Amino acid sequence: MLFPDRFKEPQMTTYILRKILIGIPVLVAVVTLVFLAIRLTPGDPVRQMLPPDASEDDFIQMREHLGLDRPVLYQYFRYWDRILHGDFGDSLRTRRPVWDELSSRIPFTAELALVSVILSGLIGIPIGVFSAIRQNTAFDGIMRVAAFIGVSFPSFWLGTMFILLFALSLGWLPASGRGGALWTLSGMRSIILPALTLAIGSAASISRMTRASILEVIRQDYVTVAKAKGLRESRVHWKHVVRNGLIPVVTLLGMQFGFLLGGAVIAETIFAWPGIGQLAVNAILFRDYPLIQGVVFFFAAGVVLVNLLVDLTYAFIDPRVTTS
Amino acid sequence: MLLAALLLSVTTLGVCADDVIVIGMEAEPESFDVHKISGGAGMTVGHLIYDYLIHYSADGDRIPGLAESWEFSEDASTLTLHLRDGVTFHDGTAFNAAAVKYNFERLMDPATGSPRQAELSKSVASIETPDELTVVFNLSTPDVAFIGYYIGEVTNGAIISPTAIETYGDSVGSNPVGTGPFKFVSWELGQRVVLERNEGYWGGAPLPKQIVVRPVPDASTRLVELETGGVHYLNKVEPDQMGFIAGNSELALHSKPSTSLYGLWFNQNREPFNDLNVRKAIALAIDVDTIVEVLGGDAVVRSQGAVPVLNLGHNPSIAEPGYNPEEAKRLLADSGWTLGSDGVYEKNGEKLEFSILSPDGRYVQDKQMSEAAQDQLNQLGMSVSLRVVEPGSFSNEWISGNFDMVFLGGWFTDSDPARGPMYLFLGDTQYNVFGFVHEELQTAFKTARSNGDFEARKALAWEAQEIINDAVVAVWFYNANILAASTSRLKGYEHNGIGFLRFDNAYLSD
Amino acid sequence: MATKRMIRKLFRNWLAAVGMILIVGLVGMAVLAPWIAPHDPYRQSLRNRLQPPSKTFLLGTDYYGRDVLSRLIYGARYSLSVGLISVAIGSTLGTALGVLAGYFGGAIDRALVAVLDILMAFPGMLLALTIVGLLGPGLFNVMIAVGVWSVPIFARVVRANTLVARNLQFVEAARAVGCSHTRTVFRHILPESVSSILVLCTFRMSTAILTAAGLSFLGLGAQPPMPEWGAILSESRSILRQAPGISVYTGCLITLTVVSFNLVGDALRDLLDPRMS
Repeated sequence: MLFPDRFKEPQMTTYILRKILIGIPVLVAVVTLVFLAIRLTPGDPVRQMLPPDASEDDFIQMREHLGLDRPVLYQYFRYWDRILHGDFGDSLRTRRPVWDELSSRIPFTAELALVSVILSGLIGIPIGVFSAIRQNTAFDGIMRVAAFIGVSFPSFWLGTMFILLFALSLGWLPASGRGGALWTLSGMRSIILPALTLAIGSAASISRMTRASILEVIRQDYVTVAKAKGLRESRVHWKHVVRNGLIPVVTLLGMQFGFLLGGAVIAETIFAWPGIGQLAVNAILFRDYPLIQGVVFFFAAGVVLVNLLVDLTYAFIDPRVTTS
Repeated sequence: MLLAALLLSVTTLGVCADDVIVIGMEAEPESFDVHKISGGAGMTVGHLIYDYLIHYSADGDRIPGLAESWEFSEDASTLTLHLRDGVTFHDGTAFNAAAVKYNFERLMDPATGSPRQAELSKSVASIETPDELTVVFNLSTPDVAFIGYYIGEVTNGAIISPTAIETYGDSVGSNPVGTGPFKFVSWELGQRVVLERNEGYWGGAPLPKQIVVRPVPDASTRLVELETGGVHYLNKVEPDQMGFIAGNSELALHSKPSTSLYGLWFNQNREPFNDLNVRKAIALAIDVDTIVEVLGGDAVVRSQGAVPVLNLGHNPSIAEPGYNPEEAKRLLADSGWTLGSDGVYEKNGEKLEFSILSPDGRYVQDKQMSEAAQDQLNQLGMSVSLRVVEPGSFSNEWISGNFDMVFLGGWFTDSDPARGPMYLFLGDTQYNVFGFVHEELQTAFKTARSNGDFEARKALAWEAQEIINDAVVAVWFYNANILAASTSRLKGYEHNGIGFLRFDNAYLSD
Repeated sequence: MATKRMIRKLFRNWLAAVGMILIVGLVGMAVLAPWIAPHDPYRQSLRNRLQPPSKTFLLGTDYYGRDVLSRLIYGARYSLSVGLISVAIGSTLGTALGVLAGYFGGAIDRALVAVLDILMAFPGMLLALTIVGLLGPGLFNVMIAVGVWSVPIFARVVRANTLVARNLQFVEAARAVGCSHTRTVFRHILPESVSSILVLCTFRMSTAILTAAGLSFLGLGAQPPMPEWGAILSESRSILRQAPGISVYTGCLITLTVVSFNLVGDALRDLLDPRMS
């Protein structure tokens, strides 16, 4: 098929390599920024870690034990040295390796984000497409209004409302927690509410974007040409319009992933979803330096990766981008 | 007769069988290595897995744990503990004096990074094990409070299996092995911790077959989980939820007073708090009774002195200035403050302007009561703002003296007159950041701690409370109650004023 | 065909009109708060807490016995200011960076794009969270955090517009005639971006308000007793059962504000820059 051929071209390889090479310094810069920022702003995690009646000696001892009494620059280089050996340090609060904390939770947030993205695509794209095709009909009007409202909800409010409605009043779904693997019934039931809370805002965005994009394409000349050639209207729509209209939507889906990772922060707190968002909030509130750095590292890496995938998908759909 | 016996045995059998009790906590346990953590979910759940040498009863009295009996020497410089015989750890290792010594040496080892390591090492000169079941702590300085700080149930002094420490090293926090009523089974990070019944527990096998701990950080969600049966028990209840739970016949509210103390403290190192009149005026301008009653409700007990109501050294006739705005205005006038044109008091061109530092959710209704107090002070003619900080900053802010007034408190299990918040905050410690220096008080404190005579300690405590209240060191608010909620199906659960989870005799009825 | 087009225009205009009216109403509410609000939004009355709506307190009282309606009215001031100021920060900085990058190109452009990539590598909420976590809680820090988060988006759009504008004939002509860089930029380049900036501003207003509310929800935003809507929403959660109304009114109000900004943003976009997707 076209897939392997396109990717064998040398400009594709350069394109991919270039994208990766840009990603690395971005990562380094992000991590450095946060590392320095945390240490240079007020707030001391050691106080938090000790019981209320610990003595001054206890503090000094603890600080030494954690290596926090060394100069910032020393700590910085030691940090990178350990990363290159795969050691992200230990969380100050739990004393567990940061890597363990992250690796156990990243899959859950990824799971939630993925299901949310799919849900929002499943809801948003068809609505957007039909809105565009049936432009300015009642359906279009209603959907546009719904989309407007959908983007505007504060997600934490929506989440709480959902819990009250579906878990408490109706008793259909569990109020919180992750029920198990995605393919189990319990797992599926427990992911619906959090995913839906996140997906609604996203779906609304996507439906509007899809609608606009497809309307755009409909105006294009080649559609007229295709029609002139005599192709049936439905085939015109599906083959040309949708395929080309979806290009910016792919980008948007990628962007939404990043947005959903962020929105997950609040959703995870409300739904007790064992993901990285919750971890991040706690880490920041407790100034758990190694954990904050680890979270930042992985978020940055994750987004860089997703951007890379989006760029690749872009290239697949339209190889012309590789020559820019 | 026979029928009754048969019925009884059948019902008891049915009850002991397959109960899985699910606990909803506000945070996930950080680690089960109790030697390294300080408080938090890890320690709370840790009580199900580990035992301590000395335990506390539901009313706060010391009772035997892994030590059947103990005694201090005359001069309080040696503590001898007689250990329980025939106890084994969950992994089969025998519990004996050597195990105790091993645990405490680990606590004192700087490499462990235990929070109390420095102090403990200073306090203990040596540990001897004259025989299998006797441990002797030789203290460097006589200290009656040694038990409360290091050995009793809320400290780091849990007894972990030496074999487990040898095997797992630093990851014993994820693989805990103790002597407690429940054994550790598994831990899915962020989702649940599973414990199962320890059949060979020295106190008798507990009734529940399994205990599952689920972290649910959001308070509203927690309550919904309880209502929908997602969990059977909550170890933290917001005061606002109390009315709802009490009014719901399917739920049960548990409440017990504790030896804690919370209030608004002054920083006398800063103007104008070095003026007794101003402090008194502020105390008189705040309607503490109403605030505590309305915002705290049954979650707290109003307290007017520096010693918690349940502490054996509490002086029942101690009182605060009370609520009297007119008197407050008079005192301000006496000190030369006049009401400016903008409604704010001023003196020598300076406005009566300050802030209240408060954490959010660290203590019961801390932010809420501070907000109410702020409004009342503003009504009187002061310009007060609120500084609410997140957990990671709060301790640092107040310990470094960076506050005008702070909502602060402490909680100590031990009810001995020589122990309590006032020693910590107003004694000769690094926590005395309030600028309150009083020679007599310091002497009273020092004498109390090394005095073996209970009545003497109590008298000193009474004296201290008078001195503190006369000087209006703080505006005392309340002692917190320990709250918990459960489904009304949960029977046999012993609630206690310390916050321990005691599920030994708990079961779910139908 | 002509009728369809007219209906389309009317429809769009109608929605836009609604949006404009709502915004004017909200701004009016914020500005006229001291005159419209029936009570002092800070005045507590502990014995009267959580009262249902009554003649004196039209929407009831809150956690401390304060008038909910007055707090919501005054809240408009804070919530709208957060949106305004953070968007102002973001748009000014972003435009400056975008123009610099697009106009001068070369190394400056590449460096700036790298910086933008850095900022965009963060999911928005997390970036705002980190900044507020570092600076400390408070509405002002939230404004900075949300403002900084908005910078890359403005920068990107303005840069794109600048790149296009730079090559336009009249710009080249201006340079040929001897216009200085500054003059060229301000008179010829920037105007090309104005429409995009305006549209973006309106949309970012809504995101800013939502994000600020989210941060207040986590306890990092407005400090008590400030009646910012996000803070009110956060406070209302603990008493959701006793007084669900507060949560509903506040949530609706936030949603309404965001909707109106989005409506106007949409209309502006259709009007000024139909090509922008």
